[in-house]
Formats: sequence, C-alpha cells, structure tokens
Amino acid sequence: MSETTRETETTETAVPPAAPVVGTAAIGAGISANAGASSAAQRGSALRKGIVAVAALVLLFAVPFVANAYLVFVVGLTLVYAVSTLGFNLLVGWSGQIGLAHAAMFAVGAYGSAVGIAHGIPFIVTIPLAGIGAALLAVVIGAPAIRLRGFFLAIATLALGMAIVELITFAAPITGGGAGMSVEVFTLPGITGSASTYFVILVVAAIMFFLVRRALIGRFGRTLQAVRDLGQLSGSLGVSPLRYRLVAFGLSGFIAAVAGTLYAQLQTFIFPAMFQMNLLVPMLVMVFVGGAGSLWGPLVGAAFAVVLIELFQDLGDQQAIAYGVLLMVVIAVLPGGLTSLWRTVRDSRLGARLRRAR
Amino acid sequence: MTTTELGTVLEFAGVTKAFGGNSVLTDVTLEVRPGFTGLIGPNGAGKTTCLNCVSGYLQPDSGEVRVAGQDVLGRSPAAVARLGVSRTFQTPRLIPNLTAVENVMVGGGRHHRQGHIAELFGLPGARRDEQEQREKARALLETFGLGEHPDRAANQFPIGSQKIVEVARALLNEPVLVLLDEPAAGLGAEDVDTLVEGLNGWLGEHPGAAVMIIEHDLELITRLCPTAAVLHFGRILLTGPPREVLRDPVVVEAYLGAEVAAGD
Amino acid sequence: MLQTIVSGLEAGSWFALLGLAIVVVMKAADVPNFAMAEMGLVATYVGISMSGTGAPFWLCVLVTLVAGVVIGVVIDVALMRRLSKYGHFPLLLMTIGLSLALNALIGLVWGHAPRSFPAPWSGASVQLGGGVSIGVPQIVTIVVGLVGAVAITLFFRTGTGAQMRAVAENRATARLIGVDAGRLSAIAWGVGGLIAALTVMLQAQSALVSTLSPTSLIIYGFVAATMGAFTSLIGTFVGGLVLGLIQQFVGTYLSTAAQFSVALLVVFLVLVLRPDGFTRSVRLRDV
Repeated sequence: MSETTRETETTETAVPPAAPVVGTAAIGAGISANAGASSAAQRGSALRKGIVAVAALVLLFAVPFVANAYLVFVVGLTLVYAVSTLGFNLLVGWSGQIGLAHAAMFAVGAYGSAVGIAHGIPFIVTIPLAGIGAALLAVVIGAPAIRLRGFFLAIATLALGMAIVELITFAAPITGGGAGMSVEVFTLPGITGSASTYFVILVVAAIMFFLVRRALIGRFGRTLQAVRDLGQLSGSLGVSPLRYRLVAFGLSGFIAAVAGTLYAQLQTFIFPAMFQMNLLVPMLVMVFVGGAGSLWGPLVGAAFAVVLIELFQDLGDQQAIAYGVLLMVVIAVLPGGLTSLWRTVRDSRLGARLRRAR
Repeated sequence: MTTTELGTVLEFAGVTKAFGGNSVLTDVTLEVRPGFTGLIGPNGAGKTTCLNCVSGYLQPDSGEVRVAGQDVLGRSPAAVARLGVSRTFQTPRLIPNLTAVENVMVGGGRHHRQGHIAELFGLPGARRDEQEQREKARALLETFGLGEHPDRAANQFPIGSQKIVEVARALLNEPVLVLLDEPAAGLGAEDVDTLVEGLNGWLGEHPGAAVMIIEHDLELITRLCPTAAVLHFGRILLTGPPREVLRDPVVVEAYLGAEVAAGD
Repeated sequence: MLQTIVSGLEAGSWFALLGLAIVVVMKAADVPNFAMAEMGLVATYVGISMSGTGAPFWLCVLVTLVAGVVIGVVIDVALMRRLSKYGHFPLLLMTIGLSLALNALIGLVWGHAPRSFPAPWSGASVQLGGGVSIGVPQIVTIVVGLVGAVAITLFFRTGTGAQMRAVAENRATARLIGVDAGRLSAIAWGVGGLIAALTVMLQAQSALVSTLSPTSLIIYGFVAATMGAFTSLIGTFVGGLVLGLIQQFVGTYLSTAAQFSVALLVVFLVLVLRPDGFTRSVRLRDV
C-alpha cells in the first residue's frame, strides 16, 4: 500500500487513536503493559513503606560488620547495578524508549571518575562531574535519536554506545586503551578499603533511590508515563513529548555514570571490554526481572543478575548454558518480570485463600 | 484572558487542507462562541481533521485558525494546549497503570507554578501544587459521577467511564476551548446522562469557555448545543440550531447519501 | 581496489542475508531475533560434522539447511509463541537468552576452535589481469546471496507471503479474515532458520567460523535490517551490501580496529537522516 492512499484513508482520523500498534512500534506498548502495579497500591501506607526502607538501609549498613570481604563485594556490586538499573528503568520502563547506550554511559562514568582521580580531582567530586558529563553526552546522543521509535532507537543508540566504548579504547594515552587502567581507591578515614568503598556506594545508592523515587511518584513520573503511553498525543496535555524524552535520556545517562564511578571504585581496575554487550545484556535482564516501570524493581533485578553472574559467568560452557537456560525459564514462567510474582500470587486462588485465612 | 467577554473563542477563516491531492477541508469558515457547539456530518466529512488543525497536529494548507484571537498556525500541539485548548480523542487514551485521579491530574500541566526541580526536592510550593491539583481532579471526577473509585487504576474502568475520565482530564486545565471528539461513542444511556450533566455543570462554572463537540449521537447534540455546524465533504453546509439544521433538506440528503453509500 | 569491492560484497551478502532472515521473522512473528546467527551456526556445525564423516558435499548442504528449518520451527513452537501476548520486551530478552545458551551449547559440543565448511571449490581462485585474484568461494557467496534475496522476495509474492504481510500489518484483522497466525509464524521461523543456516554456511565455505563469529554477524545483520526499516526486503539487501562495502573499505584504507565503529556511526547517521531506512514504506506509526 502506498503512502498516499494510507494517508487519505486515515483522513478522518489523521491522528488515528485506534491505529493498530504494528511491528516495531509496539515495543513501548509492550513495556507499558507490564509496567508496575497500580500506584494506588504503591502509595498504600506511606509510613509502612518508610519503615521498610529504613530497616533495609540499616540491614545493608550492617553488612560489612558481619559478612566476609567477598560478600561485601557482592552486595556492593548489587547496589551499583541497582543504581544503574534505576536509570535504565527510567529510560526504558518509564519513558518507553529502548535506548541501548546505557553500558556506554556507565563506562563514561567509570572512566571519567578514574581519569579525574588520576588528574588530582577528589573522587567525591568526580561523581557529580562524571554524571553531568554523561548527561550532556546522553542529551547529545538523544537529541537526534528521540525522534526514532522502537527498534530504530535501539539500533541507533546501540551503535553510538559501541562507538563510545571504541573511542575509549582509542584514547589510549588517557585511558590506557584496551589494556585498561587502574583506579585509585578512595578511603574514608579510619576504615579499611573495601568497607569504605561499600559505605560510599551505600550512601550514594540511598540518595539516588530517594531522589529518583521522589521524581517518579509525582508529576514528573506521571508526565513521563503520559509521553510513553500517549506518544505525540500528549502534546494536547500541554506536554512537549520530545523534551521529556530528551530529559529521560539525560537523567538516565547521569544515573548510569554515577553508578559507573562507583563501579570503578569497586573493581579498582577497568578496561573497555567490561562495558560491551557482556554488560548490556545483564543490564537489560535487570530491568526486565525488576519489572519495567516499577520503582523498587531495580534492586530486585540487580540482585538477581549479580547472583546469576557470580554463579555462572566466566566459567565453563556448562555454566553459560545454565545461565542462558535459567534466563529463558524465568522469562517463560514470569513474562512480567520477577516482581510480577507477588502480584500473580496475590491475584491467584492461593492468595485469596491466604487472605481469608487471615 | 478573553474568556470573560462573550466574543469568538475559535475562528476558522477559509481553512483548506488536502492530503495527497484529495481535498479534505475546503474553505471552512466558522466561528465558535462560548457555550456548546456541535460539529456534525457523515463519516469522512473532515470533522476530526478540523480538530487536528486547531490542536496543532495538522497545519492547514491555507486559511487561518485563531483561538481567542491568536493564530495557532505553526504552533506545536503543546504550544496550542498552552493557549488553553484541551481535547479528547475518539478512543480513550488514558495511562493504564495510573489511577483515575492521576490520569486527570496529567491534564493540569498548564497550571503548575513550580518546576520539576522544586518537586524533586519536595519544596512546599510543589507540594501545595500537587495537593491543589489532586483536589481539583477529585472534584471533577465527582462532577462526572466517578467520585466513588478515584484511586482505582484507569484500565480497570469500563470503556465508557474511561472516556469520561478523559473528558475530565481535558477540563482540569480550565481551558478556554475544549474539543471533544465523539465523547459519547460507546457510552450507555446512563453514561451519556452523566456526561451531559457534568458538562453542563462545568460550563455553568466557566461561562466564558467554548466546547466544540463532534458527535454522531445527534440527540446528544440537540440536548447540549444551541448551535451546530454541518460538515460535508470538507465544506460547511449549514450552521444553526440543531433541530432546524437537521430538518434542512440539504443536510438530510447529505446524511442519507452517506448512509446509502455506507450500505453498499 | 577490486579485491576490496569483492570482499565488501561478500561480507555484505552475509549481512544482507542475515538481515533478511531477521526481517522475515519480524514481519510474520513480530520478534526481533538476536539468536539468528547462533541458529545458523548450530545448523552449519551439524553440516560440518557430517562432512567430517565423509558424506557427500551436497548432502551435507541439504542437511544444514534442513537443520536450520527444524531449529527455527522448534524455537517458535517451544519458546516464542506463548510469550507474544506480553509485548516485545520478554521476547527480545528470550532471544538474547537463547543466543547465550546456543552459543555455549556449540562450545560444549564442538569446542571453540574455528572451523570451516569445506566445499569442492574451497581454496580455488580466478586470476584476473594485473595480479588480481578473486576466490571462487567469494563469487559463490555473492551469487547465492543474490539468488537467495530474489527467492525470498518471490516468496513474499505467493499466497503465504501475502498472508504474512497481512499479519504484519494488523494481527487482529488478519485473524478476522481467517489467517492462521500460528502456522505463519512457524513458516516464518522455518524460513528464517533456513536463511540463517545458508548465511553461516556461506561464511564457513569461504572463511573460518567459531563461537565468536555470531556476535558481529548478528549486529551487522540487525543493522542491515534497520536500513530496510525492518520491513523492506530490498532495503535490507541493499543496506547489507553497502554495509559490507563500507566495512571493507574502512578496514583496508583506515584501520581494521575502526571498522566496527565507523560502520556503526554510518548506521546512526542513516537512521537520523532517513528514519525510515532506504525505503519510505511505513510512516505515521506514533501519531
């Protein structure tokens, strides 16, 4: 069918609200379909939520005192990925854009911080600096890309993200090239190295979770969802969809880079190969498992992926098969992500019986 | 704003629009005054195209569209909305996993005084804004008979109620001009009654606003609108009180012709 | 120069064919298949193993192609169908998980050492004037690629092909007019698997393949599919060839390290300047 006939046919509905979501354009729709529980439930009792959050924070704070170095590292890594997923989820789940330059933004944060420290900038200062730098870069990437939908956006940002990582490799005099560079670790006075890194990560993660949650439960989050679900039609609500899409890019870049600075501290040595598809795939898994568009999902998704990575990665083929198969099983059993499990249980007959029994 | 004086709110002056050589609107000239105005006509007459030319989704090939005296030509949908133009769409377009109240609140962007940064840090002004909007949204839902379950997710409402939520969303802005695209399609008789009552109630409180309604339910048009314009093949055939307009032989023929054509 | 062009067209044919496989599955089954290259590699390794036992060459080719079809259909029926109602995101991740699992499975069964698919003409070359020689496998790849593309285009002209296009246009309507979407999706996956097997086999009769080769192949394939806006077969084919040429020219005249990034940047530019790919068949999706 030619373009002209198609346009004339839709004359009466030149803004065809009932237009079938075809092919690649359906990506956003698919995401919104499994996005989060109703926010009525989310709001539930604010007090109880606050108590749970504080309790979780206290528990996490206690980890270095009770666990061995390896466990501290694993929990720290989970928090770093959770922060990164917070940004990725904002972009993919909340704004409905599958932008795949996230691993590259994470790399920009890691390298930005490491290079900054090497040039005498204190680590704490490199966190916002790298974040702002990555946000600007994300906006530069996003400015042309936000007009693209679905897969086109995915491929364009994937391409640019890979190019950024290649660029880091080329900049060998600054970044050490493919061989990588070591990172000077920041330590809080009076605490051992790994515990200090952990506390820094915990504090930054808590701040990021607090701020992002704050942003998403209010008007900003509602408007992002309007842009995601209504597309161009959100213009009639006085919202500029392109501007919000761009802001989502910038914010997710900022958050990714902040997570990247923490990652560099945790790993103490970074090289470009860390930030390629082998990172992007787990990042996507984290968003999925956490439930695209949910608020606390990133933590769940990150924990799942880290456990999976620690159990299976960089070992033999058997483990790699198990990794792939486990991922497939989770998707097949829980297409709405792991966080949809409790909703499934709640809505099931078992859940109803349990409620009645109570 | 000019909403208080009873002048022309929306004005089409010689608007022409064609798609790939097919003329959809031909020299449409129309004045919409405060109160309800119906825009009727057979399928494919160009009614929605008219709305799209107002709300910035389409640019007319020639002619002018003015809202409260201001030219909308070249403005983006968001810029037109900021002039005080709200609209709904044929099929309800809500955000499925937000509650009804929150969906209505999404319509209030124009009246927020505080930016997102203030919101992020929970400044008092932003909180007050949020609270005011929430109360206004609740009140609007009450007006439209949906006050019982304001915190239920939008996708759990029947289609009819979703359409009404969308109408409420369009009104939260305190718009100068409201464009409703088939608000009653798919609504049961009771829903139509609530819609009519709600709209009448709202207009009573906002006497300067104009509401233009595209509707196939001619009874609804007769109930609400003192004036109706008939669009046929992209031309305005006639403007006048609905009862008279509908009795006009030209209009009858236009509708009958369309029905015969549709029956083929 | 000529050698660079031929190598570019050869690599371009691989990208174009894999891109076509992606587009076929995309059209009918609405799944972005990131496991396409691995599917082809599994099928090719089956053929290579058979050829190692001394079986006749053409029988091995046939077995490879059949294996591709079987793998495609099995994946569709066993994994993909039930997920389709949950939108794209789970499907996309499922194919990623599948590619990880298949890749590791290949490593486990056949090892990670590079292999080739020996054809009767492997190693032969045609001497041209001025000391330029072109490998026969390269010519085979380019010719088979072209024939394959024509065959796929013709396939979409048949009744089944038309139904697939109908499904791609609108699933609900297609069901109303009596199209069996399940059967079509199985056919699409089968055809996709067939093309993927053909692609990797062509690669293996000219160069070496290993568990490392699918990664770049799948990305180039997706890039080719993007150039055809995931719908246009001709756009995908031409896009793949152009991509192959760019990649080879950059490798020859700039640096092999920059090959990948330059190709990716070109893609980005194409997307931004021509968001609908080389063809303008689909528009107004969002509005």
